[in-house]
Amino acid sequence: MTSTATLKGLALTVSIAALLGLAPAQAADLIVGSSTEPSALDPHFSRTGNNQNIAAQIFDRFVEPDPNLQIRPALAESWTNVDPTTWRIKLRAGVTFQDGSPLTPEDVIFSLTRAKDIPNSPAPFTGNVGAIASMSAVDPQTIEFKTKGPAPDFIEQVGLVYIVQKKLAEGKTIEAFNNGSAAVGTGAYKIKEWVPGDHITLVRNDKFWGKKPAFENVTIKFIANDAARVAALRSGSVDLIDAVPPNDVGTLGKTKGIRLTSTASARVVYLALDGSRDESPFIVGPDGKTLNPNPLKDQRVRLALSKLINRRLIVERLLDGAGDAAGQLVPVGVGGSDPDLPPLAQDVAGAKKLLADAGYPNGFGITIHTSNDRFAGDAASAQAIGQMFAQGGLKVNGVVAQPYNVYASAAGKQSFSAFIFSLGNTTPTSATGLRNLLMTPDKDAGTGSFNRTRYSNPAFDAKMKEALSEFDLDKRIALLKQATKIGVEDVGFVPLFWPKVYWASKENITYTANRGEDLMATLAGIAQ
Amino acid sequence: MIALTLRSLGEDSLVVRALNGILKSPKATIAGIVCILLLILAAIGPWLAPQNPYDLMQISIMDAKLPPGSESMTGSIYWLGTDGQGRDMLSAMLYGLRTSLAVGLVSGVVALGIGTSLGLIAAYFGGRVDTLIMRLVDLMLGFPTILVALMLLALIGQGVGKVMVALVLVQWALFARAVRGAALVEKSKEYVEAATCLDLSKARILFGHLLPNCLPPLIVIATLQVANAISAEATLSFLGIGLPITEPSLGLLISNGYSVLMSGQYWISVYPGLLLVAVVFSINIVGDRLREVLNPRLQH
Amino acid sequence: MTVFVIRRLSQSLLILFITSIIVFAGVYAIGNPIDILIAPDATLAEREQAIRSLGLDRSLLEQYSTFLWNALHGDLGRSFVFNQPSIDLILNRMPATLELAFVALALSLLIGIPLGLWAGLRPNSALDETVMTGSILGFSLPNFWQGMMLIMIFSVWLGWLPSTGRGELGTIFGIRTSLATWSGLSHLILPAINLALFKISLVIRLTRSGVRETMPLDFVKFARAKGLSERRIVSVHVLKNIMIPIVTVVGVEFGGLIAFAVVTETIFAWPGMGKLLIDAIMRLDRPVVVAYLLVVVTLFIVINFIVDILYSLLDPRIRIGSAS
Repeated sequence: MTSTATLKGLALTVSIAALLGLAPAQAADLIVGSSTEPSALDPHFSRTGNNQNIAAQIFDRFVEPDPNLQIRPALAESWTNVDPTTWRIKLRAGVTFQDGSPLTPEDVIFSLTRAKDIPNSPAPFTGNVGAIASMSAVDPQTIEFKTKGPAPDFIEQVGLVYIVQKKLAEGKTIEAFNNGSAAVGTGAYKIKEWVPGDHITLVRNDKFWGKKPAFENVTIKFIANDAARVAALRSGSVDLIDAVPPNDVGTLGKTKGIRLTSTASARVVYLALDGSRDESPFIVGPDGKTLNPNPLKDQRVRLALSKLINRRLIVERLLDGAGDAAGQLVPVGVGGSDPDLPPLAQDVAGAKKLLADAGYPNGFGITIHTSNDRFAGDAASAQAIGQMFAQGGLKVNGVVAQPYNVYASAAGKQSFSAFIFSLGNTTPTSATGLRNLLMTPDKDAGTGSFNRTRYSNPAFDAKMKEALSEFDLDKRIALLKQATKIGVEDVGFVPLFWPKVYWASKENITYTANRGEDLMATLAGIAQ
Repeated sequence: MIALTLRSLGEDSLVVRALNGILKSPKATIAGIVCILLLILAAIGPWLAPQNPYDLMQISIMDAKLPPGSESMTGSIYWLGTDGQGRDMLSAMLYGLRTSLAVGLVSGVVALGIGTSLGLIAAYFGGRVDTLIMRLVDLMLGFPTILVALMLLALIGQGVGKVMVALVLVQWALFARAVRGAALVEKSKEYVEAATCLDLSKARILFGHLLPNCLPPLIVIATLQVANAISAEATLSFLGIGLPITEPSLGLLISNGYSVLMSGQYWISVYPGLLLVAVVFSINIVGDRLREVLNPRLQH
Repeated sequence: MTVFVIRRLSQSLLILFITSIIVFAGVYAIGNPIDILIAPDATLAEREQAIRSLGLDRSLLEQYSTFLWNALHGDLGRSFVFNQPSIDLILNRMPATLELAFVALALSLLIGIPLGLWAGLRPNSALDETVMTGSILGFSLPNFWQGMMLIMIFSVWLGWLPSTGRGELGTIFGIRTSLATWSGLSHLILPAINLALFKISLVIRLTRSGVRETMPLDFVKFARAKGLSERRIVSVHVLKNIMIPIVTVVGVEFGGLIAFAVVTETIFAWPGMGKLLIDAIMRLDRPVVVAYLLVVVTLFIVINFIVDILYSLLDPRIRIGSAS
């Protein structure tokens, strides 16, 4: 090829690309720019959000979360608690898989058995099916479950496991799912093709039992880079994107032809304080030596630190308004949220008094740790809190930001004193979050798995145990509220904010904002 | 070889030649002046900067993401705007320049020291020592700098010291090869044999007699390598495996601005980028001119 | 020759073995993949199950010996993230990277040689000065910043070209490539330019110095004496003479293109193996990091080997040269 021919080719390409960019998408097709990519199409392989996004469009579960994370029936039409250790689940009638085979109790029992032993699974569904002692088909529509003990949250747990087809999935490896041959569910969309690192294409399932989705062909492009994803929407090469960075919310909101949808997520960003040990590595005196006793053991000190933080400022300035200041684990709308626990307002004088009362009138040295690539504003929030602590009289020896891969394992090993984390919540109540974050770590009881500061409060633990074994939902929520109050008043963690989640689409496309931070074609519609 | 004639001229005249060469080219002169100015800026930066961008008492997120020329809460002007933390970009760049230059210079000098010593040793002792060292050199030069550095940092983690270690490791081989080449030519000369007969110490022969003759290629490589190292460090930091966010170099400042580049806050990455290009470009022009003037026969 | 090949082969195996130890030990020293892979609401029991099933509960030595044993049987381990053989993941992504590198290579020759000839034929003119200064600038622009500026100008401001991903693929001569569709081409242009810029500068300099060394040679004078046009002398005789060094150097540099593709792929979200590496490092997908590095080291050993052989075949002077 000669160089002139190349140049002509380039010029042509440029103009064609410009044309393509401006062309409107066909009404029945949807191109999505997704911030995440699944690691596998086997719905049981990993419970993480990126895999769930795709799995939930191809497969169904007993129940599904609504935009507020409250569950509603899906494959299970109804469920009854016969006695404390027996549950009966009635399957929805007339449901067929995408290949036409009917949904049977065998498929369900197979799926629930399979879910806990997927080879090499990094995030298995083991916990979700852990309560099951045995299961059997009563009739072609009903399955009876015996549980190992009373399991009040049985349906919430077991209801999150995807149902695959026994005939196609039995004995199959992950490859059979990834190439689509075993990935045949009952969901709204059928998988057409997955090109790893690039895109997935889905086709509407016309046999779907539920509401027919608006779009027939869906292409999901993986664009992990925030700026690039926004640029793709602006240039028109995709119709809908998720995880709009807070930075772009302002400008996109003003852009003609672009529609912005948002909701507060149920993910809480918090500051963890290492207050359960006599010495904490980054809490130091004027001489640079670690302080003993550790000031963070004192509730007054923890409260003072919480009071030094101006949450509204962080939300407004750093997140450009893309968040709500938090005073507890879950926001209003999620079960267990207590309206009487508003976010603490900044109170520097009050904080200084508390510090003086605790015996630290001149503060102490502190280093704040954070990740810098985990969620929008993680490093920035830590820096801002550093500024606020410094202005409140503490000697801030640094704000250290690390990539999440290094940071997360160090945080789990109690390497830090004050550090920023986020905790997502995808369940209808705050129970799971409170159990993992604030209950005393105990492997056998399955509590405290994200309690990185080893916080331990007997009163809180007792109240949580009571809540976790309560069958009545209203009573359980009341108990969760009481537990939350104990944890918050003792400053077991310092809640900062619930980030708002944004989706942006072309004006002719609507999207249902949801607290689960999901990006699914089933939630998209055509504007009237 | 040029190195031959240079031996009799001594070190002073080498410097003179280099300086004369630079001054004869207006382009190189300007670039040289820019280099010196940048060095001075880096040296006195902390005193020039309107703010210490890493002192949390001095910055406020109230001033975050202000465009260039904005007024701060206290009335001073942010000439180049502020970043997402409310840091004055001008100050952050002055501090960043310091980090970038320090990383480039220190790793260059250490690599020069190690490479030169190994090159001289290889040339002087020959035989197995030579084979071993040169095999290592071939191995290092067989792989692209950025990949080796990337690999190393993926293994040893982040930090100024670690980046320098990685950069030294990828640079020393170039020096070793050049020095060995020049020293081999020299070694066969009578005076080295004479020195050996006089029973002068090996170190003295190596550093007193062989080294001065290897200087021209060393100066050129060293200059170009400083530019390369600065650029490599910036790239590594951009990829997220170089410097930690608390010690931002120019590369890291650019990287911080990358995410907001498309939402109109161009200044956070464009200005540090321009400064970085100015640094690397001017050093490269000087290095290129030195190559022409000193004319050591180097590969490309 | 046979001795040379055998010696190189055994050296290469040794290098691979040593690399595998260093990389393995190093990769296993940082972070804990479980923290990244695990579900946000996992219980401690689930966590332990995941640790066991990924083999992370075993000692480093145990893990390495399993790895080595499997590697000798052609299995470089399964990705923690994708649960697919790492080597498959890498080979799946390799065509995209090779395509990018080849197009960048072609661009660097197509742009670099004419500019280098142009400058070399008019030494010390204003044009020469401009081209040469331009080439230094090309060396000086950090690859990643240059890419960002390309995106800012051509995607954001002008809106001409897409900034991210790979376009549609078509088939030419049985090869799946972006070159076959407009969408593919438009996605390829910016990353290819980004990757090529450094090499364009290199080719310019090589061509220019080649021309300047060749023009005073006798055969050029003969050709002039024979009355050949200057155009023909340059485009046929001179060019032929300087092509050998350019092609060999560029051949060696092809490895560099693959290495630098890591940066380009990160900026333009090009689904190649460089991006796979960065993602794997970030997600602590150890088997993929180890496999990638071993694949690339092998690739380099092969490239260097071929270049060495070609050298000694093409140019008999090499052997004499190395002896002196």
